[in-house]
Amino acid sequence: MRRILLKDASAGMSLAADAINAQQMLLLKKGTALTEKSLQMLKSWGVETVCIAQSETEDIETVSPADNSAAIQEELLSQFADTVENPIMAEICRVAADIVHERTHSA
Amino acid sequence: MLNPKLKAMIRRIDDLPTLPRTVFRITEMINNPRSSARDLAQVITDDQVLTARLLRLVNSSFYGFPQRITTITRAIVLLGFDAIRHLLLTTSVFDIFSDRKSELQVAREKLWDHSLGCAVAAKVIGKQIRHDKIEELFVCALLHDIGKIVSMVYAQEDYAAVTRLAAEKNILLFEAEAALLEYTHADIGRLLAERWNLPNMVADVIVYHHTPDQAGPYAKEAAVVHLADIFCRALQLGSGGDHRMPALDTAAWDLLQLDETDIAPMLAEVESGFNDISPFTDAIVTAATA
Repeated sequence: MRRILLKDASAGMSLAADAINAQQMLLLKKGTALTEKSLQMLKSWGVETVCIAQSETEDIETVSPADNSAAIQEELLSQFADTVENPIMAEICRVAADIVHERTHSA
Repeated sequence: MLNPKLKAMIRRIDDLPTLPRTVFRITEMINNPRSSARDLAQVITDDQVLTARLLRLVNSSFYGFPQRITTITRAIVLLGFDAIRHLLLTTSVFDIFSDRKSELQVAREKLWDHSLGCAVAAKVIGKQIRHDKIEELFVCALLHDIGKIVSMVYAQEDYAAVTRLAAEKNILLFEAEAALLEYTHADIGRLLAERWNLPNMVADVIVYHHTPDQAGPYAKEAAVVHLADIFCRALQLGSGGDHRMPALDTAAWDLLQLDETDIAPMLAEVESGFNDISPFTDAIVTAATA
């Protein structure tokens, strides 16, 4: 299985993993064959990469998925963005980051 | 401020599940101090689906009663009026979230988690400020994003465009809606609340959860849900379809008269409260689908 950029995917390829967007919405299930229409749909839902079976993508560049716990911290910071200028929001961000960190590590 | 597009959408939602009449009758009844467990049981047993589901729930492992409960009266005596109403409302609202027509099941589950997380947070905040209607706060928060479900199911293209814009610009779904559509999930929520005859407090909180300063007589309740929404997003409980944190409305914060040192214990309580309620949600899913 290889993760490739959506723009490199084409109709006829089948998904080797569920296609989800940044909000973790499940858009297409693993095993679905891509069509022009579904490629357009994935694009409109903000999907940037998809997983395709190895054999179908030999000449296409592989990309790595972005996740894990450093990404969660970064995510939380980008989510709060300029709201942390407020001291109450800064406190909420600080405490929540600790709780989320603990949750992901005990899981 | 009914724009034609919004009106057209509302016309299409005739088949949206409604809160069963029974739920309102039960709410009225529980508010009446003269109602007995038997009166309440009478109303519930008039609704066969609700009766079956309630019995399945109270016999689920979440409650873990040693003996099988076979009558509604017994369930009411064991759990109490408030717990029963809470249970009925939560299962009814869950039905609205679990409409099987839409393929966006994961998005709906995340929105359900977000709503449930907010409901737990609203209760925690309500307790902290010694609000006298904590159960109502739970319901307000559970329903605050109900307008999003409608867009998700009945205006999929609009909803896709809005979530895309929100992600691209890192803005709130609420702001993306205002920019693209001339209506927001709060407007849809207002129409649903009217249609369902929800109490004024619930309707106003749905409408003003992003703008609590405009909520008039229910400014405090809107402030609670506004803060609950922020808590929930900070703790990453579910997702409301966007990633951006709403700015804290400082007037709302002042109205609640909370202290900065209250934040850490409240957030910890939301986290554990949400974990505690998860088996309850699983029980609801089982009861609804069995």
